[in-house]
Amino acid sequence: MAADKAGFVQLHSSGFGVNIFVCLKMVKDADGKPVMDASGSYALEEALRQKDCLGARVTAFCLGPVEAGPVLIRALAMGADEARHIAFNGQVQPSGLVLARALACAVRMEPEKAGAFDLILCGAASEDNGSGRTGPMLAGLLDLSLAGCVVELSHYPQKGVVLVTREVESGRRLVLELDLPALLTIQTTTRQPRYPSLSNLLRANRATVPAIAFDSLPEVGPTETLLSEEAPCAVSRVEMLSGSTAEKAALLFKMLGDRGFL
Amino acid sequence: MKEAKNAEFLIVAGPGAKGLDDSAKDAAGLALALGAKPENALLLVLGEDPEKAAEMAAARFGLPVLALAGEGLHPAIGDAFAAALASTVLRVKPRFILLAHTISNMDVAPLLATKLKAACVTGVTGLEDGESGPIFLRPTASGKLLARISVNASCAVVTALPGGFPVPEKPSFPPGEIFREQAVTPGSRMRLLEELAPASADMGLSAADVVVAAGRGIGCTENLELIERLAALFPRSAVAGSRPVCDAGWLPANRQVGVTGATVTPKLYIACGISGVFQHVAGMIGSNLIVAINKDPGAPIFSVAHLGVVEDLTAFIPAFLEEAEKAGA
Repeated sequence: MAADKAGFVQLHSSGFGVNIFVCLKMVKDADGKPVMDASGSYALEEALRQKDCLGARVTAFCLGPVEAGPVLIRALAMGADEARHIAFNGQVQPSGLVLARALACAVRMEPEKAGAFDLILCGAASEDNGSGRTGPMLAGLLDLSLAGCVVELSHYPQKGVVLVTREVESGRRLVLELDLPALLTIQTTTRQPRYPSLSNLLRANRATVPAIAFDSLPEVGPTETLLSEEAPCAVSRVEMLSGSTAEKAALLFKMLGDRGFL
Repeated sequence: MKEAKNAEFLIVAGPGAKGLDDSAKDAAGLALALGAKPENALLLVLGEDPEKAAEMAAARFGLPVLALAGEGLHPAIGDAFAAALASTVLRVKPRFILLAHTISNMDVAPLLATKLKAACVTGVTGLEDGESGPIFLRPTASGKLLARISVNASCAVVTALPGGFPVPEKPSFPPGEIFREQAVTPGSRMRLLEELAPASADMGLSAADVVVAAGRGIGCTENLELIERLAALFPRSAVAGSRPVCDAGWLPANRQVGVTGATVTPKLYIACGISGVFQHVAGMIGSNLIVAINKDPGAPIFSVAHLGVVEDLTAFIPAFLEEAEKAGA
């Protein structure tokens, strides 16, 4: 299902261009540096493919602390047209409904014409929390049609629909047609997120990303509380082999031999 | 006609290939662990034709069942499914709504929670007793951490990962009563056009006695050769990969083991450089003997393996191959 290769801007029925919003998240890499969460980068890549094919305008949103700036810069460097930083100052990163409500507010703050979006794309589940709730909750708050774990999409803004393929258990695929505007969560696929181009990188480094203060948004109490998050006590059946590399190799070889595998 | 009454626990299940979808036991198990009994629970089976699934559920779990039939009720049509659920919830007034953590329910559960202004906890693997209610345990950081979550709302929608809450083979209660209703199916803004079977699973995977699987830890395609040489030591073996390895194009998609790939149950599964996130583990947990090789001692794969080796596979596999050569294998 290849997307239309228009080569010119297709006008949305509102007369304005095709608008796609992407929700991104900041996580920390192994060295503690802020980076774009991988699942969101696949959503952004899909949005940028829509920009390549349909001339869509892509706006990236990210709720995160001040240090999340590089995530938005990276989004611009990959080719997003605009970025919005919902700047959060507190200790515990908002999640679940609190996060979804803040994103919904930010989306609604977009100027009227630019705010008429066709698609909102999110990652299916982030690397850190991985609860997968944000996209569906945002769809519920904004009353959008919703499909998660999408591996392929074909966008027909003039017909007011998007065709998606969802990959479900055992690799079965469901092909669905959704009315626009729609929210899709994007699964990781073989279409790897692109590297920034030099020209976009230069443009991004000069850009000013508008910030919205999280504290200025209407407050909503969290519906869940994270009590603790620690490495689990290892209660497992595993027998860990010990010794040097060569010793462990010899031991494993013997153990597998004893069990009849070799 | 008797109507399904109020229930503290509402368990959500659907029809599957063999009657009742297999994932129903994940939701039911969580409910039973929370204290569900025939007096305070209702198991809701929704679908276009839920009858057989409802009968199986009533017998399997010993809880009252509401078979809710409606055109267009399919978990993949998330909006209609969530709306049908929501209208049952308003009547039954549960404190807990339990679902299996399937890909379709990853949409349905948070969507439903948003409509109900309920709490939402997904991918739960364990429970603890808390002062003001249960504490839900769920893996985070790709399985390296365990989060403990309490709920601050009068209703919570919770999804359960497989294996966390086993259901006893013999139900603790006699077969439940079955209620039948027609759902008022709201319109939907989605249409299911087609269901496609997976790209043919590699036949070699399901027939193999030994599966050697590569994860992100192989680092680059050049190291795949180590995996292949390791597999070649064993008769009736096959090479498989985790999703990231297949996404990177290092192995074809039909070699993927995991939730969205193949489920394998070989005699021996050697996981090389695989971290062990639940999506992968779901596809190989049934293996007879699991050997894990990973340079990270904190990798969650070590909590499912039988034998563990904390080593960089690029050093360990060559050492193992050398042992094999010495033994003339």
